[in-house]
Amino acid sequence: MSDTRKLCRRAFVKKTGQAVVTTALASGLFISGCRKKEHTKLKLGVTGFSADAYRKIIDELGFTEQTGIEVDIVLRPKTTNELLIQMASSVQAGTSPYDLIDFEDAVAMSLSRAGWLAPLDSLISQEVWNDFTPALMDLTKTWDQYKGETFRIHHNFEMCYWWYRKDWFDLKGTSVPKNWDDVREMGKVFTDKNSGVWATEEALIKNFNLSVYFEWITRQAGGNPYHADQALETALQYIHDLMFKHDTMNPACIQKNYDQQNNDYIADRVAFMRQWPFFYDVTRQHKQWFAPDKVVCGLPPVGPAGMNTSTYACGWGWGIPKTAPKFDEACELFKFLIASKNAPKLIDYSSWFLNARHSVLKAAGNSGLVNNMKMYLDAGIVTTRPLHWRRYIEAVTKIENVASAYLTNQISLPEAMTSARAKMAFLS
Amino acid sequence: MIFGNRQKTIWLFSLLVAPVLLLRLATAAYPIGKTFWLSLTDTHLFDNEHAFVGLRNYYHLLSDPDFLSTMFFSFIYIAASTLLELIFGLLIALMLNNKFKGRLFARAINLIPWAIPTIVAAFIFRWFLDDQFGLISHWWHGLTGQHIAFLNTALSAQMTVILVNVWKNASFMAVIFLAGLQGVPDEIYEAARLDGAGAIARFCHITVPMLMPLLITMSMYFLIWQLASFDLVYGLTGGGPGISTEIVPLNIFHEGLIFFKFGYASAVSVVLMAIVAVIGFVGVKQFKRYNYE
Repeated sequence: MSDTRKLCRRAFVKKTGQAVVTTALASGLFISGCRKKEHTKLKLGVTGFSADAYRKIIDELGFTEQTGIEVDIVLRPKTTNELLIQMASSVQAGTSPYDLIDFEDAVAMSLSRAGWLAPLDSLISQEVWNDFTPALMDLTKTWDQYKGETFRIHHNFEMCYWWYRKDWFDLKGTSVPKNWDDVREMGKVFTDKNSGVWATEEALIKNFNLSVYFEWITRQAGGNPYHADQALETALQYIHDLMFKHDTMNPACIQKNYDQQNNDYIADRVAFMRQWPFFYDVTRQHKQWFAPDKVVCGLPPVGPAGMNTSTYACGWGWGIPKTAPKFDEACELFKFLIASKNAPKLIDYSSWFLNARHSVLKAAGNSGLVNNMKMYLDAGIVTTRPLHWRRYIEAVTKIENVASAYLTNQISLPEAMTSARAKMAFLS
Repeated sequence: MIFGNRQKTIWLFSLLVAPVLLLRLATAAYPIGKTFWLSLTDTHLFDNEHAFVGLRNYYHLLSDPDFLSTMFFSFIYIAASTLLELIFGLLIALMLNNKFKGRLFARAINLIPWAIPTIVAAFIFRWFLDDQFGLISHWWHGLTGQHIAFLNTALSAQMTVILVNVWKNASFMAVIFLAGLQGVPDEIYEAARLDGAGAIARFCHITVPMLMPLLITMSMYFLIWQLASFDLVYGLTGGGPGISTEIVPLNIFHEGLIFFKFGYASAVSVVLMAIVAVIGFVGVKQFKRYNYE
């Protein structure tokens, strides 16, 4: 007797039909599960380190009570690149993972040039504009407005600060450098290669670390690196000389990031350096090492362009994607956060909301970071971060590549400048 | 037979094959075709540009010294990495194929580098190579009294990237070769020994020929795989200093997903695809040549 069971045509058609129906049902369930569900709460996209402060702000300042709008604090990707990729795909799909986003300058340039951010002018009262100091207004005009429309408002106003070891300078009997010439001489005073001590260090790895430094130095030289002009050439030559001619800066910086740079400072390997305000908190976390005269903030050494461009300001701010699912609610939250009565209250929750608005500076008191900011603003040394008006991120990457190649002696300065000019011409 | 004639059999065949065929068309043929089409346009996500530009993107990239430099290092990177991985993989496999105490333990720890995610390995090595506090730099300082920044010059950064890649992948290569070695009958070695063949002769005339199909397969696999992977370089050097360690996939990532120049990035992708196809073709030819029964 044969074990083979033959499938008759009727049975085949029946089973095939069953399989097709089952597949169709399963697909329907899957697709309905995947279908975009309109979220019920407004989604505010923030970075991890500010999330707790945002939660408290929303809870304690009574936004939900006043408007009836519930807010979900969600973490946005940490890096610029990841956020851009996420936004690009979601905007193409006609939606957005966030209704209101807290984002940095580089993201602002890309999203605004892509036309993905909503104009906000109708949401900003004259009272808010009057609250802006001239420095913050300059920053806003450069970085938050495009084609006559405001697409973002800064809640965070940061500057490149200059930090130094006062204890070391006192020990050596040396005064702090006042200008580029003084900085050049600091190598002789502090650098000891055998013990790994350098007068200064920087985080010069590519991907938005190196660019911060050459933007800072090029500003001091009186220009914008993305114009690839004489100021960039002067800046690159200066940095190269600090590394290889004067032994002032550690050449290994070219592959260091901020963590490595800070680590070297806290390990007593660096006499002075430029760093963002977060360094203030970083040093205080090392309680056994920390002493006030180890981390003193001073005015940066003045470059060839004079004192007015000794440092630049930049920062983070809020914007609303045009494709935000809860667009109207996001507008309400935006108005709430920028209101002159609320802006000063935000700094009670985190220094992340410290900025150069009159009301904020008045309410901020005299804590260390506020004092530093006031010192820089009062000295009139703050300019705005240089930008490439059209393709900022691409411009940063191209100039970083050229600068990194020159600062590791792969190409000469004339070659670097020729390459930089060609790349910037192509972008424009 | 379910259906009575040939025509019905063909219909049944088509019905059963159609889902898979459609799936492959949607997930492979369409993206490839779309990529090729995009490479002939100047599509940029921000500017909504979609003009047909013919071969202009190809002209730009092939006349761009930076891209040519990237291509050059990519070839060096995959060729040197694969060669060294083959050599070290084979040496490790030969060692692990011997009988010695703790062999099982040795085989297990051999896999540790491979088990570490590549991006994690990249970040670990960045710290290992830090000039001030890196473990490797510390050893170097202990030996020579000099602080060295391994990632600070083009040549040393390139060598470092290749060596870290070899460290990461040679162990996997070793496991495959070990499996191959265990398939070589001991009788062949015995016969050769009786005929007076030494260790080197046995290795050259028995081991290598017997492993040749495996050597070619793994070479092709690693050449193609490494040509398309970028996580190690991304995490370790970011393509720097300058663009000395930039490889083609990293270039595509920048152009496509950071600058959103879809047209230009697609052109680079098509070039990469062509290279992969050529390597694959050569590999298949070589495999057929050595694939004796």
